[in-house]
Amino acid sequence: MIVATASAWFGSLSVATRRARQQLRTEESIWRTLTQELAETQAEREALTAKVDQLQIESRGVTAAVDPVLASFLLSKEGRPASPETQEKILAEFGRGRNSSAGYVLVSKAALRTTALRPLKPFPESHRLSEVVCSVLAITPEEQQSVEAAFAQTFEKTAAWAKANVQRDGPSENMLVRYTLPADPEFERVSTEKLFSAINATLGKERGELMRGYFEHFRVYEDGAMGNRTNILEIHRTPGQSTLGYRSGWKWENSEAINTYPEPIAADKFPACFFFVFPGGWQEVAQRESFDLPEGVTESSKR
Amino acid sequence: AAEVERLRAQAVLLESRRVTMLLARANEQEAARKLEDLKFRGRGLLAAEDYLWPDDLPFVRIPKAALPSISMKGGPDTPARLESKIDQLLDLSPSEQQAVDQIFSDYFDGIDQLLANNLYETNQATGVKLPTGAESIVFVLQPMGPKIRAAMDELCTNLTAVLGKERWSMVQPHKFEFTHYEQVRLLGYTKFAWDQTQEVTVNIFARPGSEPTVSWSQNTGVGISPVPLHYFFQDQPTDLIGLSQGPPALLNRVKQWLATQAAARLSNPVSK
Repeated sequence: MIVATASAWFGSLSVATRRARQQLRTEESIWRTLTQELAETQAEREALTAKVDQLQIESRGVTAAVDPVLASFLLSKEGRPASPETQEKILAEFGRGRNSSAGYVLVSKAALRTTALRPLKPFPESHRLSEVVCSVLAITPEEQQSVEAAFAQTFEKTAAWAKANVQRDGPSENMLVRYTLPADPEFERVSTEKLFSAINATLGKERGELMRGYFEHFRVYEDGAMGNRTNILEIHRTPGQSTLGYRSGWKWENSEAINTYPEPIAADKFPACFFFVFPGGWQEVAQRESFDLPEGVTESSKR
Repeated sequence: AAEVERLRAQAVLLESRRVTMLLARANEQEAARKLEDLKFRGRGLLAAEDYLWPDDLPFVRIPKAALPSISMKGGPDTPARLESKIDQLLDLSPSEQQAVDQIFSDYFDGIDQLLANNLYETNQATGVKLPTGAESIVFVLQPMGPKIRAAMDELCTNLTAVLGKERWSMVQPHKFEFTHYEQVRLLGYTKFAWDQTQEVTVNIFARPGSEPTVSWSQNTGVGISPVPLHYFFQDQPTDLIGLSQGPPALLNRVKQWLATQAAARLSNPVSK
């Protein structure tokens, strides 16, 4: 019985020992695993930290290659046009002082829109494009032909309208005669829109808008803004003198842009819009109104 | 286990930052490449024999020969517009641009100083008799026309020295228009008075029991009858009738003085 008990006891002890050893081995295994994981994680962390530190050092040593605003525009997929500021930044990035050659200079389109130039030649070629506008807008010979045809057609209609609507007054005191071309905004609007619709079709929107800007800016010399506002031309006798003077310009309802005192008649001073009525300029008016022109003023005005 | 999780979270964060930086670098390189493309095309435009208008570029080439025929929008040629034309159309190097900027800065500062140094107040009028019973002050602007024109000549000389004769000829303004409208800007439309001393005599008539009144007259004899002083409170948009065409610096000085007098003398300001 003692042997049996002892045997049972030793048997239990063996089982407990085996279990303990198993648990110990399991715990040892877990500990080794965790230790290894910790070491691996720490190694990984150190590797990543070193890499990020390296990248940070590299980026500190290198400034942004392109201005951020410019980069945003260059990387945009929306196809939006560059703002005036962005256009200037682009040219600045190319290098100021290096955006020109012996004969040419690069100019932003935004800057070009702030400029003005005479787009048409003086009367009697006032439907023809000037050399400067052809060179600045890179107008080809075919485009030039088409645009000039549009101006010629428009001015033909403008002349017909002007001859049909011109009013004559006078004489009155020192004023020998006054000619008035009244405003007709609807006529002017339709005529101008049709003209630039044709021009845009030939040159495209960008160049068409530039052409229109130039035309509107120098309108006093092109067609006197015929129809858009009232144009007047007066011939005055100068008291106490044998010379004649003229007043001309624009009138609106409550204001006017007309020289206050008559100025001497001069060959290059015939108002543009009145060429549509009197293609012969001062000479034609003088013949019609029976007065003598000053010496030297015998041809149509050219500007 | 908690330590391991913390380390893993930190590793994820660091990796995310690394990816973001790599993406930013890739974008920078792409932007730089596109800018180089634009620069290449720009150089190509300058050299092209068969130049056509580039619809897809934000810049164009224009012939230097066209520059004399080009003006800047917004009004007649003045130093301000000349500065804009040089800046936009001449493609100066950075050092040239700096020199030109300094020249214009010196010109405009010099003009301000000229006006300040030649405008003063006195109690003696030369062109008109001071009314009795009034407190009078005479604002005087010395002849400025010759000094302004001399400053403009110096401006043009200095610009020619930096730009050289060829580039100056591309931007040189029409002399009459240039000097005329700059003098209009500084001295008003009274062209006949630009080369003369201009005086504005201001008289305040203070009467007990009633609001003071103000009159003014020029040394040319032009003037107006007394009007109530309250017309000249700072927020009253009263013009100096008969003087509005004169030198802005002179008129502004008169208006400021009148506003000060109105504020000091009138206890109950009349508002609009």
